[in-house]
Amino acid sequence: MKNKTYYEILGVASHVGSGQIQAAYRFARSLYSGEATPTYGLLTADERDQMLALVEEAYAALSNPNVRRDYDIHLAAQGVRSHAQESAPPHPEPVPPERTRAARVPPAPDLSAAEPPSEPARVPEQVNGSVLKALRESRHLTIDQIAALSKVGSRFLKALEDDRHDALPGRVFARGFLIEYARALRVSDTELVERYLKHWTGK
Amino acid sequence: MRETDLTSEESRRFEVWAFGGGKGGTGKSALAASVGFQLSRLGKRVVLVDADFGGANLHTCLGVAAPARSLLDLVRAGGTVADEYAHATPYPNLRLIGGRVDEGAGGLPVGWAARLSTALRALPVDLVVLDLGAGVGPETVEVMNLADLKVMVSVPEPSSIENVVSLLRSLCLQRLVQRLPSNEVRRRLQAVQSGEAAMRVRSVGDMLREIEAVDPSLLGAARALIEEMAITLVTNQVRDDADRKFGAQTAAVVRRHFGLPMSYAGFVHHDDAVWRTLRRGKMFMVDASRSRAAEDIRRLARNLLQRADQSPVF
Repeated sequence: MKNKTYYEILGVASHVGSGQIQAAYRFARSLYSGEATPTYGLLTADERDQMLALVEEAYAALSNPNVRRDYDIHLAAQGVRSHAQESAPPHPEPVPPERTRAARVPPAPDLSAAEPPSEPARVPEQVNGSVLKALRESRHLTIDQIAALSKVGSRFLKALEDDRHDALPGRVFARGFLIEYARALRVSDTELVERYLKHWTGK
Repeated sequence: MRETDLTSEESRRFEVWAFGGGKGGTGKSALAASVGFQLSRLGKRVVLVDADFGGANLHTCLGVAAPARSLLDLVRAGGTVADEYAHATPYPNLRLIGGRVDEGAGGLPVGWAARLSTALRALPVDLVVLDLGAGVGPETVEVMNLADLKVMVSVPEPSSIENVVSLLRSLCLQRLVQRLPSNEVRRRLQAVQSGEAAMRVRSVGDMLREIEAVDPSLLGAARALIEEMAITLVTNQVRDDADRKFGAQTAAVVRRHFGLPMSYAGFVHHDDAVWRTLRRGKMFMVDASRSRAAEDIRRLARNLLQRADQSPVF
């Protein structure tokens, strides 16, 4: 069964602009925040709370251009797979929120096949935040320079270097950030991502 | 736009519409009568049909007497010719197949629904508008499933939306049971229509999972059967801003959590002019034609004809 994407949670198409994302977010909030009569008859208080949390999470991701771009990359990879399997139903399936959360962060796709790094370089066998930092410093680059090169927010890059996985919006996003980080460092993104995520402790 | 300005597509199409919603007292009959009246004003040849077995009073909403021969007479006689049961009303282009308030739906002959469908579709008109009773009894659900457009009438109250969802669930289950070519699937779905299993199978997604467990090859057909249902929601007796948002919110919740593509056709204000004219046995679209409710009905009839979805677009 298909699971809900952030776009489906907000009830928008994936190509809409930020204004529509915001309008859809306000509408979705009004549905689940306890002000709307219809949800009383259909959802329990727990279900409403869980949906509200999902709506907030979806908006936090889609209202941030960098995070949204990485999420879109992930969805595109997912889309290719789901077409091949022809498993998507014609309409969004009603998925209980507790199932949605787990399913929304699936095993991350292998994006490296689509675009190999231009100049792969050696990546240490063990990669953690300190190794990332060491690689960056060996190339005389600051966090802000990596942010400018990768278009990933410096606070996320800092979180990766500090191994503060809970400060990142999720494993799938971390994978996207790491790919960009690897490309900025001109090292193999496949190896860097795989080795870093071996020690992943976040959600 | 003048009232006679219909597009060629709107003028050409023959359709059966049904007004239901599960809950009593939401104004289904008054809405069906007034929308039917408005469509006749737009130049459509309309037959209103009172399918509220045991509670028929559509004639009262039109300000006419109960007809000598009713819809149940037609069905029990096994008839497939409905034209002679369609009585004239004081309004051009608008006729009524009525019911009597003292007759129940018991003793319907086998195959009555199919014959009724044939009879209604043979009527020399443009639109048949069915007014259904409250509840989710099998006869009510069966008649609603005959309709090309299913109009759910709700008032902005939690109990009303519960009834709408209950009716939607019954509509989907009955449609799947009747149309899917598998006895095993039929038995499984009939088992979840009531009892403990009913709690387990609430949404369309749940129903599809039940079907998949028995025969995955029927999943595509089942999805198509659900997807092709044209269902829209009307909010009646709207009083304030929160009520005005109710319809779009309800349609969104039904789409997102029940898995059914229900649209939202619009709302009608609560209006004392309606009950004042009904109390005098008059048609409010005529006697209170400038009332806010009458204006709402004119807009609603147009939206229904055009299948215009009033849900917010993001």
